[in-house]
Amino acid sequence: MMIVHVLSGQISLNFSDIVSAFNTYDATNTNHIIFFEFRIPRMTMSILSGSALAVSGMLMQTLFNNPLAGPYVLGINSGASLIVALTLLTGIPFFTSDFGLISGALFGALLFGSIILYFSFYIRSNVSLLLIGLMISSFVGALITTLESMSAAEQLKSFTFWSFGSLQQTALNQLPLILFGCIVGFLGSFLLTKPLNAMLLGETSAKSLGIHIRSFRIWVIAITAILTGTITAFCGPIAFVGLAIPNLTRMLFQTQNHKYLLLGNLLIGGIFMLTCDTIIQLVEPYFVLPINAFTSLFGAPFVVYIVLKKLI
Amino acid sequence: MDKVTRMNKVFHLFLILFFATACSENVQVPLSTKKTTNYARFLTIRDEKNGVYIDIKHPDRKNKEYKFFIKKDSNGKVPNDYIEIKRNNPSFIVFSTTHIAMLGQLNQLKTIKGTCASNLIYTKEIRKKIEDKAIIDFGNESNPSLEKIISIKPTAIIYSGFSAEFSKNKELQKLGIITIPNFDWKESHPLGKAEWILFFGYLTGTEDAAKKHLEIVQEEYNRLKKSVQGLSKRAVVLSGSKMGDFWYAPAGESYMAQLFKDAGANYIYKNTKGTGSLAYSQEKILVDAKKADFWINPGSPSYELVKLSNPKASFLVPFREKKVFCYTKDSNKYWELSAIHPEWVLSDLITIFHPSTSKKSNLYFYHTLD
Repeated sequence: MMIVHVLSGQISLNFSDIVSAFNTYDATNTNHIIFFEFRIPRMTMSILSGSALAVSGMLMQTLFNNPLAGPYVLGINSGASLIVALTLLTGIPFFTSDFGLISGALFGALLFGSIILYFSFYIRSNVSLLLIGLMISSFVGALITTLESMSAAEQLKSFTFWSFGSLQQTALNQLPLILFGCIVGFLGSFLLTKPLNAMLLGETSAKSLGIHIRSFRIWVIAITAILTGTITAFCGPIAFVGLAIPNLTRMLFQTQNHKYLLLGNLLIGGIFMLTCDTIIQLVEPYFVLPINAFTSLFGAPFVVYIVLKKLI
Repeated sequence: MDKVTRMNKVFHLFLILFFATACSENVQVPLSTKKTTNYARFLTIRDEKNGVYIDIKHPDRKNKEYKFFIKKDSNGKVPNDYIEIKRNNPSFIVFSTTHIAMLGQLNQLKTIKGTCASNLIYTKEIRKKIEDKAIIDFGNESNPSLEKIISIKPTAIIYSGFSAEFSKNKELQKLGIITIPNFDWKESHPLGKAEWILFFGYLTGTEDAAKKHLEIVQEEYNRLKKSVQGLSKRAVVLSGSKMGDFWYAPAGESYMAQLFKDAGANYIYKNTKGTGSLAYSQEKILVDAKKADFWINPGSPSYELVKLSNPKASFLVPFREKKVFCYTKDSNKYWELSAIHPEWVLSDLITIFHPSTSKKSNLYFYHTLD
């Protein structure tokens, strides 16, 4: 799948280009530049974003014991969007640049991640926490709509393009930072598999098994904030994956054990995004398809098909 | 039905028929060749004995036309399907800065009573009047305040026509305020865009000044174009910038492509179809622009900002060789004045592409990035 992705695109590359790029990289050779500077970051971001969002969704669904929960319920996506909208509204060229957008989105995601984390210190009920997260999302959504109505056409265009999501903005030298954020999140999630399994029995049973609910919750939220925040900052908001992939993984793996679910989400999330982006690359000469829309366009009928197949 | 009732009905029918005939003034629209526009695709003005016929075509809706008539004789009749524009003491609300430039060129800034997006206006006089509240700033075209429009009672509202109709069209028609779309921004030939000054000339009774201006512009444009036609070396040009995941470049039949052609350049997408934009992946741009000498209109005023907004721009040859030009040092000046001075834009491009053949060293709008 990775090889298919790397070889797809408006410019055709072949194996010999890849081999020669690895053996003797020539900075003036267009095919070498395309392979290393365009295809490798794009492929890596496809895998990382799919895996990170799927794992975040799994964490949220288990924490809130709700299959409809996803990374967005904490308001992290909305927080990133709000700061991006605010920075774009200033019209200052630095903020409207890719670097400015990444910084703004990262700041917004971490800020709103911290807000929900703060609430989680004081609120005992998961339902209340879920409600607060959803309210923050709605509130921030309304603020963004107000800002949009006040924006000039050019600012509105920039924001709209950002909200389309993108796997192509990342440069090769940014990958180590993103990789670091994701690995921290994945390792953290792996360490939480035991309490996550215990939480399936309900809070009371989990407590009796020695799980410290409050600290468990804080860790889950912190890991989700890191994973979602990093991806939203570098790729913009990407919907659907965090909601659908964990459900799909549960169906396909037929298990509730989070050790396998985690691995499943990492795998299926990555493959899903890689497939979506490969299709986008293949149709690029004919259509402009934003990744944020295509994940749902392609994914929703696919998930419906899987559900029906399981039921019938 | 008794006889009286039947008589009444017949009488009413006659009355309706009488008024229907009286209201429709069956004036024949002459099919003369007195067309004053040559390059504009969406504007036709015919100056006839009985009056001036202004026909505006919608660029995207095939059968949609807007027809206006300016009487020459006050007792004359308005032809069918035409809306009369009266030009005694004209006053306008204009929704594009190119409208301001055109009225300014004709010394008719006094007719502007309302406009929009004051931060995008280049003409100092208009900015000052907005500050002094002598001109109302309506914010944006999509949702202007009806009450403010009524308070001005302009002769006409001239809008850019991004959507088919002006948002408050029905209400304004009832109040006798005319709305006129202006599709100068959709013209693909630079001289066609400039020809819309005739529209403002006829609206304000300054058509002679408009014709004079156009004559000078066309003469200079064609002289400049001719001066580079015989050159054997043609600069290879890349244009546009990245938005989201795609690079948007002007299509082969667009306004910019026409300017590149007339400036003696070899635009990399000159053979593509369409007057709008092409959306290509950055990879394709990198390959297609391998031999590009210049990059025009990157959308940012400095190399640093271009790299910040698109880190992969540094792989493009013109970027590496610092041959990137834009008008962004004063975008308002470009957007306001370039429509009425396409010869200035052409002169800038010729100076950039053929520095040895151009006598000019200073540029009107463009500059190399900082």
